[in-house]
Amino acid sequence: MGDGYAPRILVVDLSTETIETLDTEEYKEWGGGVGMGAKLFWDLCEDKTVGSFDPGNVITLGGGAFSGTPVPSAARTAVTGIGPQGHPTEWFTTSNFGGRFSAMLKYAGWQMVAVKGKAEKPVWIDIRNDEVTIRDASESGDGLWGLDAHETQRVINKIHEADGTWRSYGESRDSGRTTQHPAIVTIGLAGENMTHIASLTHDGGAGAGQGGFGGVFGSKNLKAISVIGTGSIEVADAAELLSARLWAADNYGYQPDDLKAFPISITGMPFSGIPSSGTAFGTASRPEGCMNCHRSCHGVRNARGLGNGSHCYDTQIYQTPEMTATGKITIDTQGRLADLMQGYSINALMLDTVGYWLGQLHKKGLVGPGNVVDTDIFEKYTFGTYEWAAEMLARMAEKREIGALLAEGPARAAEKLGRLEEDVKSGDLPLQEWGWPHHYDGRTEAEWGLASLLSSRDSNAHDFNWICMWTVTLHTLYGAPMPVDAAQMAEIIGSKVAPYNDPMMINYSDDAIYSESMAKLVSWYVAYYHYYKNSMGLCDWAYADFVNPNTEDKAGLTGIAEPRYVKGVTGREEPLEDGIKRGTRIWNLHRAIFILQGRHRDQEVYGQYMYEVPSLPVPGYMLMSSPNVLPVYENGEWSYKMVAGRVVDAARLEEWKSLYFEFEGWDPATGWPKRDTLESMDMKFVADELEKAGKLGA
Amino acid sequence: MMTTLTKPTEEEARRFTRAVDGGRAFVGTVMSPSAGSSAARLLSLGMVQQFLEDRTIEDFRAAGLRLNIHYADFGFLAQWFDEVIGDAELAGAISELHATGEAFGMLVPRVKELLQERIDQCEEVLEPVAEAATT
Amino acid sequence: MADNDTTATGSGVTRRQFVTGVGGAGVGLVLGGLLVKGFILPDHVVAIPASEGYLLVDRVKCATCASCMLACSVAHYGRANPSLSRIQVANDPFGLFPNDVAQNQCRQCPYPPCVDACPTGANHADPETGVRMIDPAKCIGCERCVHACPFTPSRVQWNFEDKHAQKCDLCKDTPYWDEEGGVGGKQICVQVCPHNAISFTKDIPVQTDAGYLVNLRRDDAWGSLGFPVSDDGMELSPQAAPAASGH
Repeated sequence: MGDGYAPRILVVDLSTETIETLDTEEYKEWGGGVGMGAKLFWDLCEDKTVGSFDPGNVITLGGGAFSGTPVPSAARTAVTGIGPQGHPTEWFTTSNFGGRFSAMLKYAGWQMVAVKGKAEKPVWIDIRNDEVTIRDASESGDGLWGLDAHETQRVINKIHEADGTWRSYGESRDSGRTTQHPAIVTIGLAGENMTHIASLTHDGGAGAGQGGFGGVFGSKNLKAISVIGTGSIEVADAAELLSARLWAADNYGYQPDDLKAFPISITGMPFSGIPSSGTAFGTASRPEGCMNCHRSCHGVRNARGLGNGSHCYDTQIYQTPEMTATGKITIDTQGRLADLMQGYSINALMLDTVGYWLGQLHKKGLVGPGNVVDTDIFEKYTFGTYEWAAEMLARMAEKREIGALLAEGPARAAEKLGRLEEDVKSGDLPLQEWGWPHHYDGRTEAEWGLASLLSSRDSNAHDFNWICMWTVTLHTLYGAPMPVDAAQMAEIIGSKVAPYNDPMMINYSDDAIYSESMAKLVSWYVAYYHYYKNSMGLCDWAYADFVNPNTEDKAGLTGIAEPRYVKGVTGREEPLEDGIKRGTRIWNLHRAIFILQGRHRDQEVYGQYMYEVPSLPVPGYMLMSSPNVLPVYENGEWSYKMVAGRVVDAARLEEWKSLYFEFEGWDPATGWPKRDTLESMDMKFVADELEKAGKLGA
Repeated sequence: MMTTLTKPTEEEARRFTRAVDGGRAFVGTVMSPSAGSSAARLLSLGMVQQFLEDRTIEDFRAAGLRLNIHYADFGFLAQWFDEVIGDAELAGAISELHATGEAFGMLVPRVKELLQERIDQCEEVLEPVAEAATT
Repeated sequence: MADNDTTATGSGVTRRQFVTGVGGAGVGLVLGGLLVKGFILPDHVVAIPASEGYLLVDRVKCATCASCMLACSVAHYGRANPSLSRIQVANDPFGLFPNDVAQNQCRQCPYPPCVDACPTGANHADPETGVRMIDPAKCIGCERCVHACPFTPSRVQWNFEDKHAQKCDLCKDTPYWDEEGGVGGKQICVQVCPHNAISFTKDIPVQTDAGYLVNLRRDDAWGSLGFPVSDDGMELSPQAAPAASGH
């Protein structure tokens, strides 16, 4: 009986140009994705303190048990390894992207791929079922090096002669056929040039931006990994899986022919969300779904150069400058920039962050030829126009002029200019944690900020954000009746967050965000997204689904669906609380890697502006701010309340960290896991390693 | 809507419609589901008018992830018109609307209308002047 | 154009008359009754009863997610594998709408060359429903039916894992799905398609080289999402939601 896993894990050593295979069986307990990836990193990366561009760094890509099966919205590919984006340490980190890669990898028989070492000259990895070839990507070979990320894929498609008709892979007629294109993950110039801001690009508009893994590809002289597979993934209980898929979509999903059933929400209803690319570009288009997705966020348009396939932050990287300069945001500018950015393989947040920061410095008279920020870009181009942004992307990708500095990432660039402290403090350069640009606001959405602070990156998991913040804030601002009142929301969510099942977990009041209920929330949140999403493969834009407009009691499918999917795919009876345990285990493994890299609780502090500048637009401050309305429990009752305007209380945050570390079984003095904790999760091997390094929690 | 604002003098019209420098901008918030929230620096009456979007909750039904909220705190906006732009009358009118306590989205069309009225008044005052200058 | 407008039966054409529209590697556009009414059917065609069911795919509404492909292979084999799907959605990630994708489903041809080509009767019309299907036990693996299909890619596939030909049976035989399939039952691809871009009809559809012409988009719903509702997929609906300021 199958269990949804592909049988082997591919390990490619580019230094020796050798291929090794591992048995997936040994790694299944980690789910896949960032769980398996972390364990592979643990096993394969000999010195975990190396820099991201060191040949010793190991990068892993792959999905989980759900990937490539009919589990709805389970198409993510997770990436792990040491990422160049982290600051001051290049932490072990994770990233992920949608599309078809993890599924195709499994159809080729590989659950994950890990790459170590560094090739002597540019190469790409061509995977055709069990045949794996390291091919020459240089001009003397397939000529991929130097091409943008889209062109690279077109060339590889031509090598495969992929045209939508049946093609055979292998010598015999029984070796497999497909009508599909290979799934290719690749880099453009920003990756080749080993910038700290490079993404991995896949298909038209999928990409792993955060982490900077494009630069890691570049450092390994790795241009692309292409995979085509014709094999099967056998699932344990096909009837249950199909039944779960149809049950989920029919009862909780959007109904495409029934406008009345569309959720009135900007995003607050994750699983029931609608395909949303149509209105974006004002041109004829279709929604485009990642493999086996039920909601199809991406879009394909009838005009080239408008961000085809792009749909997310990648189409919003320059809104504020354009708005400020011209008073409007145009499809033409944002769409074209999305394509450029994907082609260069640049992390979507970078242009936004850098543009804002330089704009601020420019106003202060610090930018210009020979000035503190030595560049002529503001002289030659008008900030806010397409031309300025296109030139800036080119300079960053090519490490040219000011781009050479900015390619280090905003934190390192500011540090080199001697401006890091001042600009982060003022909020001109809002880096919330680890040099990561401000995304969602830890001052109000505490679990988002805290999970980011205690990991190595912007947590970027919208589980509570969609419903607790977006839905509530949107309905408040537009005076619409709430889908559920605050007490109902607490009750519904409380019923779903096993094993804690504490409605107080979503109490976002000024006091509660420093309480044990927030420790539970952070613990559950981190475990959920580490396991079900980033390891098993569920998409962040569909899960968790707490409140759903399509059900009578407004309760979403989370808590019921995940165990059904696990049963259908793996055959395992695994109630949600057991899945959460698996997530906590993965979280502890990640934590141990950070610690081996030198992590201590004292480093776990936000960018200074978080403590000083309120989270509301205050005259005089140009800051990421938001009128966030969230559920609070005050004076014995639940309500929705605007909590914007507050700052993080440094002393209380430190107290909370101690409380949280105790909650997780970590040493409150250091934030390091204790032996008991690790051994109770069958991770003696981790405890031993930490002890050897003198970093086991006391 | 009936005219509620006093017609400005030529000097006032210039002042009310000028663009201030970035350091004195009004800060609006663009709330984006994927990008999070970011600040929009608005330098003039016209930019604020354009920035504010007349949306209803229904608009968000079909637009899904794509429709951002363009938010402005009307209390701060009134303060900005008063202290930075120097249009106390407009500031007062916005304050009055803000004081009703109605939801942001309900107030947007009325604030926009108010701003547009001010823009139209200023244009009316300045147009003959501009024509005279060019002829 | 609504689903029920795409069939030729309304104008008095019988299903058997439709078959003469099929020829060569592609098919001529069957515009309606008058064009085909006068044709005389070859004798041997009459021996093969028409299928009582067809799959229609709205090529403009499809989101290329391949949900149908995976569900098809899982329902039939308990295994997820696009290569074993009987419906093939082949999209070019760098193509432009609406020509970026081709949805290749079996058309249950009135004159089925695949059935005709089979030397053993493995590829046959189901006696009850006329659905063209394959009995793996009788398949000798000659692949004549695979090559006989006039469409590209062939709508009959060689199942290289189980070593037999396979084709769409409208889910008459789905051992891994707990639902009654086939004509009169459900089809997994229709059920699973998240956008209702696949539908089942008992009436012979109008077809072109590109496939059956069908428009399954509703102005008030699909159109309001900002997606086109015109037959050719090029016009946006006036019902479209406000263009996104910040998209």
